[in-house]
Amino acid sequence: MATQLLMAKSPAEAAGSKTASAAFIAGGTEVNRLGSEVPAQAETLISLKKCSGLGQIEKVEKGIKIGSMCTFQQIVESEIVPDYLKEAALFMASRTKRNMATIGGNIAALRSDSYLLPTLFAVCARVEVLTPDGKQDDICVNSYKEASEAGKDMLITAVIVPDNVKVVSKRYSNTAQSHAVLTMSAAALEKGFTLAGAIKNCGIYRFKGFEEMVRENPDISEEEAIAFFKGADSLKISEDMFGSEAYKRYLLGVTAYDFCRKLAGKEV
Amino acid sequence: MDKQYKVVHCTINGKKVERIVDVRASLTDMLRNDFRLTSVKKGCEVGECGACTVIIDGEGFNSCIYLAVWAEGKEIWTLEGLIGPGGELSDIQQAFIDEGAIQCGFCTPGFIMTSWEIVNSGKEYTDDELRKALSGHLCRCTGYENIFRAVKKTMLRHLGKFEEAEKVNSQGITEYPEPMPFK
Amino acid sequence: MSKKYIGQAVTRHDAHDKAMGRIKYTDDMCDKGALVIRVLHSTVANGIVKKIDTAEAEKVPGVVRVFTCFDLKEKHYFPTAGHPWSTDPHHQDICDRLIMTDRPLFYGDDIGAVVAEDEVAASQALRILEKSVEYEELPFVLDAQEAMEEGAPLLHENYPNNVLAHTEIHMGSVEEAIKEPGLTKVEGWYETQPVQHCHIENFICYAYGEGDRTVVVSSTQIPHIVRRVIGQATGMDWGKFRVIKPYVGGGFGNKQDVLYEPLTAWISIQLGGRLVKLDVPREETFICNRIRHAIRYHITSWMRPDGSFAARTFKAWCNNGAYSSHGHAIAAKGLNAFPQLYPCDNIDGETWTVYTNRSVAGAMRGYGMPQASYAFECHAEDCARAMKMDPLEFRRKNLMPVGYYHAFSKNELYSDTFNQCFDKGAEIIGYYDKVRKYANQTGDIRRGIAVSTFWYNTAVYPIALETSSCRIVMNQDGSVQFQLGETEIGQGADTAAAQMIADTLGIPFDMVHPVSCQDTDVTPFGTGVYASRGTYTLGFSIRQTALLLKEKVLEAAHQFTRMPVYNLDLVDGIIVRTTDGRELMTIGELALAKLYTTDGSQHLTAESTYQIKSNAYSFGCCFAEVEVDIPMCRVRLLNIVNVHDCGQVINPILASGQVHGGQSMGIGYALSEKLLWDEKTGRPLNNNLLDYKMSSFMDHPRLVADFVENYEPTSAYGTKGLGEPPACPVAPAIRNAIGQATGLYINELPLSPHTLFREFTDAGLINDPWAEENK
Repeated sequence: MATQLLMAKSPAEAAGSKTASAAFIAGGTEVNRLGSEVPAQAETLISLKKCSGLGQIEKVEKGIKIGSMCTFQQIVESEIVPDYLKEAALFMASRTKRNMATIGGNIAALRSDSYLLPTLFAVCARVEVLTPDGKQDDICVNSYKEASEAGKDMLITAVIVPDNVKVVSKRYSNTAQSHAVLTMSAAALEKGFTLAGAIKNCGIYRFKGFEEMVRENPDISEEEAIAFFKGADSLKISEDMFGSEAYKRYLLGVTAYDFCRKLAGKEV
Repeated sequence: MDKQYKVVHCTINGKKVERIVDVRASLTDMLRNDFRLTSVKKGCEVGECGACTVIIDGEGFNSCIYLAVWAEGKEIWTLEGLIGPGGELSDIQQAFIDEGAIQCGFCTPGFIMTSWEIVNSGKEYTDDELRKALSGHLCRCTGYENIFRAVKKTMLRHLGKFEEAEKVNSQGITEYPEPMPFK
Repeated sequence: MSKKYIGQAVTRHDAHDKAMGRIKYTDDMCDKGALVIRVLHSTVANGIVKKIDTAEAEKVPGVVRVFTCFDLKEKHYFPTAGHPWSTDPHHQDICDRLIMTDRPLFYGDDIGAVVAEDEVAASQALRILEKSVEYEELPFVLDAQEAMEEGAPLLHENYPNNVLAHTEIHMGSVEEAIKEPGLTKVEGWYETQPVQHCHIENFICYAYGEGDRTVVVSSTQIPHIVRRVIGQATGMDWGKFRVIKPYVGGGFGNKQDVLYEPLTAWISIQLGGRLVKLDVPREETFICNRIRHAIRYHITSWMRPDGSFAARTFKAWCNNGAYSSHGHAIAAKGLNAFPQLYPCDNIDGETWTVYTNRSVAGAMRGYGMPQASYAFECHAEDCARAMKMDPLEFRRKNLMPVGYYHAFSKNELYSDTFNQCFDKGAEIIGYYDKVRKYANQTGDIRRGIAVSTFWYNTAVYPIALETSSCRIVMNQDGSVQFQLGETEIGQGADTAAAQMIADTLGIPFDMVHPVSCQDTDVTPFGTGVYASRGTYTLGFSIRQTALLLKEKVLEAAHQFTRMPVYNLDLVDGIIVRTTDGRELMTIGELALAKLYTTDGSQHLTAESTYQIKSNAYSFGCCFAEVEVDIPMCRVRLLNIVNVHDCGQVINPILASGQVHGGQSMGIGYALSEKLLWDEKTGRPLNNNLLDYKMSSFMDHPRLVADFVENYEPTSAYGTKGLGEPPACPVAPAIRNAIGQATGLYINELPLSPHTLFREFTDAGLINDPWAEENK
């Protein structure tokens, strides 16, 4: 249980202080929860609240750059953040939590019921990171996930999302405030159709196999979509209190099909 | 490791204060224990029930998952702060009373704080937006029905729409609403 | 008696202070110097504690003492149910709990406690302590019927096959009746799930020494019962304890059990009377307080061609968890209701209450009737469909008729309540139009509408003692304070009581002040609030006591006005000469004169006890309209209308608030709530508000509450139970509406998307790539 707190004043100080026994704390909605694993393991928390320069939203060449300490509510209220990201931010039903939770925190938590990650995956968002040795980098959100899971210490400083992209998203939960069993997003990017999802107790994925199938045959049927996810053996989905394996795979299939239709301009 | 403490300077209900707090203490604990602001309730301590909501720099926060040290330099309002010097209630508090929106009262302070933010935003929320804006609060007594009416009426009055406010179903037995349209 | 305040939507007396945030709940009253208790809970579902090494935990800075089950030198087994005591040992609640146990029977059982100077130290020590417990693990059983099988782990020695109780009823002869030709047999299994009360204020109490006694301040519905049980649990005289009940942040039946008051009092005593506080975290509230019983039902009916019942059978298995708590009372209530709601000459019914290694089930809003109503009303719907009758007409035909008399409880249905409620509800929601419109839909999005009713009776007579005591004390200005054993827990009992007193005594409402917080040292004896008994039972003692006081007032008025008492009355605060209506003096003038007169000074007070020997049916209905998105397996509740007959409505705004709350709880019960345990370890899976979710603001449609008011003839003020009934009919109404929309009538709860997915798949309603495998 953490007993020490470092109020970092700059991103460099925060990133430089990150060790195995320390954890970042951004908005607090994850770390300050009872039962959260983070404070149980860490001795020191590095608070990012007072870090300068992490709270801006601005238009840049590649799209919209959102500082990692921007809250969900700031995203919702921003005039330049694209609507699809606002929709994802609104999946967090509690306004008081939206006032606290940050985009960086939601990415870093890598929760399998993440609000934002499916959308960020679908639009191939870029993540700007700072390593403990002061190195800056700009990596895609998928690479961030892989590096983070491999135990690499990084501080997210900003997220860059494209604007003018058509995106559809959906979140399935028992009540408006329950953990999602599944959150999915699809986008029509220049390079084609993308599909991503966060499956509770399973993980966050880009479904590249499905994307290829759609590129080859944009007019896939609902049966084909359902059959794809039924047979997607690489997804290790198990039965838990959020639903049976069959239920989750079914939801993946019908939602993917629904997205294909919507992005093709055919409302279901 | 030994506990670490820090001094926090902030403004609470309009008064400048400073306190030494454990760096891991929540704002709820600081407000309840150090300032005896007991309207700030503990219901879940995971940011789910909203009973501990306070206004920080104009926005509602779950104080149970907000570190006390983050309050440095902030302006904080709790329900106690909405009351006038002669004990006068704000209109949103009065509306909760008038509309029967209070039962056990444990969720009430949190609900009123978020509602206060809503009605003072100058924005007109649709019914769906209102529900969404209030959905960070759990209540087991009221089914939210009378709370919804109290907030909506007060919001409309703030916007100068007094007639419309009176048309929001009267207290007690409610009129039957128009059925929702097919999607 | 005039009805000036009864029936009026007066503002509840505590609303103003609650809106100001200055009402004191238990934690708000406790001194911040209190030592903090955290309970050490079992992490096995069934086992024996072999050893607890406390050395490391005691080293944590700030830890004051660590207690384990081995420190309990005297074992006083005690009951926990908030039932009135019975002087007949055979009717007393089962004593099967200890303050701490070395024989944990469920994951979360209490095996020790840490006392520390603050929360952080207590939590740290607890985490260390959890790891230093050695168990001998034993096999466990989570399902009621499995627990009854031969060879299942036995929880309590004196209860073979884990059966806490088994009762039967038999009327006529089912065997003979089903020989009648032309009968249609309808049969179904109905399964309900465990849920929790989720009052927003968790259970909390604190204790400290005062003289040679211990004071316990607790968030409870039943202070006088708590005092008795602490006495039983500690083996000390009951009078050695004083229990204080401050304002309570919701109870719903969970706080109708004695929870951690005995442990907290015991610890304070061990520490020489130091102030100790136990604030139960939400996670522990879910599994270490009480939950709603999961009950499995099997019902069979044999129907005649005209849609009447020839014979019926009923079986129920009630999962009681590891300790008795309310024992068989909850299952028995359902069994008792079965032959009454849809009377039939030939009935066989039996029910088992069974111990299992799960969290302890106790009272929860409806006391077994939300479960039973689900089974009864799903089955009624199934019968109506089998007979191709309109479900509403089927109910009108078969429900308890006007004039029905129940010999045991002496209850009688005096008015045509069911039909009046149906008529009103049907009109409000537009039932007849919609039920036709929604018949035979096709397509992915479909709508349905349905109705459901329930059986409920007020209070606990004749099963247990019904008594209420009231004290009214007059001040110098003629205003009064009153005290009752019936507690205010948010429902508005104090305000309703004040309205009654104002009318009976004859003084203005704002001159009647409730003493809202009970204190067993000063509050007249009462058993608390439960069984929707509040307004019914307190009405009797209030009326009797207010009339006693009025008698004294008029006698005093005689002294100062010289008029005979029979020519005087007290009307809205004025002593009136009834012969000509002249106002002689105000109650303020009288009270002042009587207190300070040098000729027979008297403090005007009255106090009395009324033992209630009656009970009243309290019925109503719920209409629900839903929209089902079949491919997405989702239900959207569009409209819900409850209509109740609680007799005279004392306060319409408080009464509709009760209905809204019951509807809300019913919505969660129907669509989303379920406590889960891991089948492999017996560990609870979702005991927090993140994973277990009650319906939030966005999950609610507009809630519509309405009433029909048939004055209850047995009641002091024509009123009867309303607290629990609204929660009873909601889930079956929603289930039946989903049935009307989709043709699928699902016999389990909750009707969450993943339940619907399974049912829709099995029925071929949705694209089913698993069909082959399922075969």
